[in-house]
Amino acid sequence: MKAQRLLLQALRKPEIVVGLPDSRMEDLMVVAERSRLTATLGHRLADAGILAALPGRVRRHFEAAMIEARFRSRLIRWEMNRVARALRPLDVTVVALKGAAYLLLDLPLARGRLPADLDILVRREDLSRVERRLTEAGWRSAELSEYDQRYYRRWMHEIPPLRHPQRYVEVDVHHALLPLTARLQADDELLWSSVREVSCSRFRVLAPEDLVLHAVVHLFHDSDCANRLRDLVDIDGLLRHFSARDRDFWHRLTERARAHGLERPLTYAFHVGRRLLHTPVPAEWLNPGRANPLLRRWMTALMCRALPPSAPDDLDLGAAAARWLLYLRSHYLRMPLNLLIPHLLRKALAGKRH
Amino acid sequence: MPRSARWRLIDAERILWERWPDECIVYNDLSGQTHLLNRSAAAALELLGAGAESAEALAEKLAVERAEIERLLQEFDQLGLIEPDE
Amino acid sequence: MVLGVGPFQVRIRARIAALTGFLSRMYRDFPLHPPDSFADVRVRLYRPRSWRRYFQPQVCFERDGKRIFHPFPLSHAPPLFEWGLNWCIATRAHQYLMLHAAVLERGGRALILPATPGSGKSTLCAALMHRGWRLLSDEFGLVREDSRLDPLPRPIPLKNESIGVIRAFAPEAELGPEFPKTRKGTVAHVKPTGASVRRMEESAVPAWIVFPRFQRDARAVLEPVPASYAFLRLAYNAFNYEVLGAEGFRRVGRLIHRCRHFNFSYGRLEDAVEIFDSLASAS
Repeated sequence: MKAQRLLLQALRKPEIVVGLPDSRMEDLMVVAERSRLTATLGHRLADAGILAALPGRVRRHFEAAMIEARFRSRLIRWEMNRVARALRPLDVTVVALKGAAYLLLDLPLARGRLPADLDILVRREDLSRVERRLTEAGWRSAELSEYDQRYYRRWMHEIPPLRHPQRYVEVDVHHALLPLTARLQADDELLWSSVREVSCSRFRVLAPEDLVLHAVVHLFHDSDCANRLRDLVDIDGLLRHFSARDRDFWHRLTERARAHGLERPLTYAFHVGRRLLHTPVPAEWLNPGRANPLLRRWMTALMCRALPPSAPDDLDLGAAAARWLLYLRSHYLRMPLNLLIPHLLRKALAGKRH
Repeated sequence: MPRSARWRLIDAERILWERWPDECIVYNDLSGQTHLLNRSAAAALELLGAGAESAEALAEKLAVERAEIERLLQEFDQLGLIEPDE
Repeated sequence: MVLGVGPFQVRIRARIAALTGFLSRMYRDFPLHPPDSFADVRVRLYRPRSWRRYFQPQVCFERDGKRIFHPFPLSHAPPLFEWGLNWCIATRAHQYLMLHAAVLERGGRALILPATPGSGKSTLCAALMHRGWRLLSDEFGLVREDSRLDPLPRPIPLKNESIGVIRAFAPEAELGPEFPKTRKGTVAHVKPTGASVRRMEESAVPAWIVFPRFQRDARAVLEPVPASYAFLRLAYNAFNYEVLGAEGFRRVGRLIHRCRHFNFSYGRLEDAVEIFDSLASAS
């Protein structure tokens, strides 16, 4: 419990890391690693000008994590580049979501994130054309049983994930922000009508308010709530970034939440963010949902318990952790072999035909 | 395969070079991939870095057959080293 | 306990007799740090609770509270520890370009032997270590930003017939227990020599990159290879070349410029020792 509190403190106020005794520092590294926030914390320390002041051993940890995060971002950018290239002949609007959008907008919170998938959104009527084009260009859908295939297409807000056999990033093509089965539903027309262009990119992004609401929905909708502090840190970063640039942001965000019918999850996000990360939500905007105060308090308490990572000693290895480890392992141990060799030696551009 | 009249190198800052007399190795920071180029492939890529070129013009400047250049451009495009000049 | 291994401090938590015995023998000369020191790598080996516990006991490997790998038979706890520690380093220590290679030093200059299947890298490495070369690592070429190589001496795992080969070649070599029927056959570890451990904080300048290939009874041939070839093979062989991106490209480039590079085929360890001696004594 203590280590989790230490991580939250460090995220709010990186200065507290300076001068921590070795054993506390190690506790911090372990929970940061478990929450996949080491690189994020590293960037905050660097921005505060204190990374260089840390003991070499500790500093190198953060730096290594930041290098890995840059690598992950590079993989996502490259996948975006490949998708854009494959879709060159199509005249469809493609919206980059989540991590990809943060990268495109060059948001501060993009630094240190560890995106694993590329999420894109297309209009429902364009979906089959986009899917066909990507398949022609080499992407394959993950092996799924026929039942799963049908389940995905019928009920989910995305087609089964696609992956190019030479690369390791999964592309999730969505046609709505939430599954058709979900109780919460965003207003897709509203969403599409305010999609923004990004300079020098084929991709568009959601309006700032929708970016926040999407992150909020993502946090509250996914069934697996354990160890999701990472997502709350995203929401906190988005809110800080946009509210600092637009005085009217809180008002517009609240209005937007109402239009989409998402006031309630936004209310919870405000409260949990304020409690755990000191997200600067002005008091007058704290309760867009007018949720039953008892229910709100209960939800907030629940989320505050569930979001931070558990300490290693009382762990319960969830499916998500196992998935993550598998991903990591395949990534590091297999990728250099699989990825490089075809391009380096066999496919060498050398005109060896002559 | 997308067709384009003229091609150019992607952002030159993203490409790192190691040169030897007969070949060179380039690193593409966009893809994170490393490629071995022979002399004529390297010369073509350098020309594309200096400004957009058509296959025809490249073939002429390098005194290489047009078909060869087309194949090279296709491969460069596949590797994300060049992009259509639009 | 917190064990100092090269640049890393490793916190090991385990109450497994076989592992304790192995560690106290193979890591005897390594520094132990106070338990409240900062550890870079934190691992735990434990026996999972299950019905197997009683007649087919197993051991699991955990980093930062997350289990990695499938359980091993309990008696294989030491190879699991060694393998797991490699994994922990390879997946995290991106401050280094991590070559998958054996590295040895003589006169301040480092010999890099990249690992490829059939290279006989570990056997060659164990042999050279007992003929005047200092072991930097059997598995990791830790390339710093300034191109120097940091040592990471650890027990060298030998497989199957190599165990007998090294016993015969270097009777003074100190070998640990044999672990039969691991995934890689029978494995036994060679303890790093005293000098290799004592000088574990002394980095070395890269000087030679040699791609070894073992061919039974073949004559020893050392052949220069083009820089581009060496570059690609070295990059391809690194654990984290891709992760480092442009920095990885630069570090490999600098290594290539600073080193001479060869292909090396050999059939007898004595020949190999002789050839590397002459490399080292040439200026």
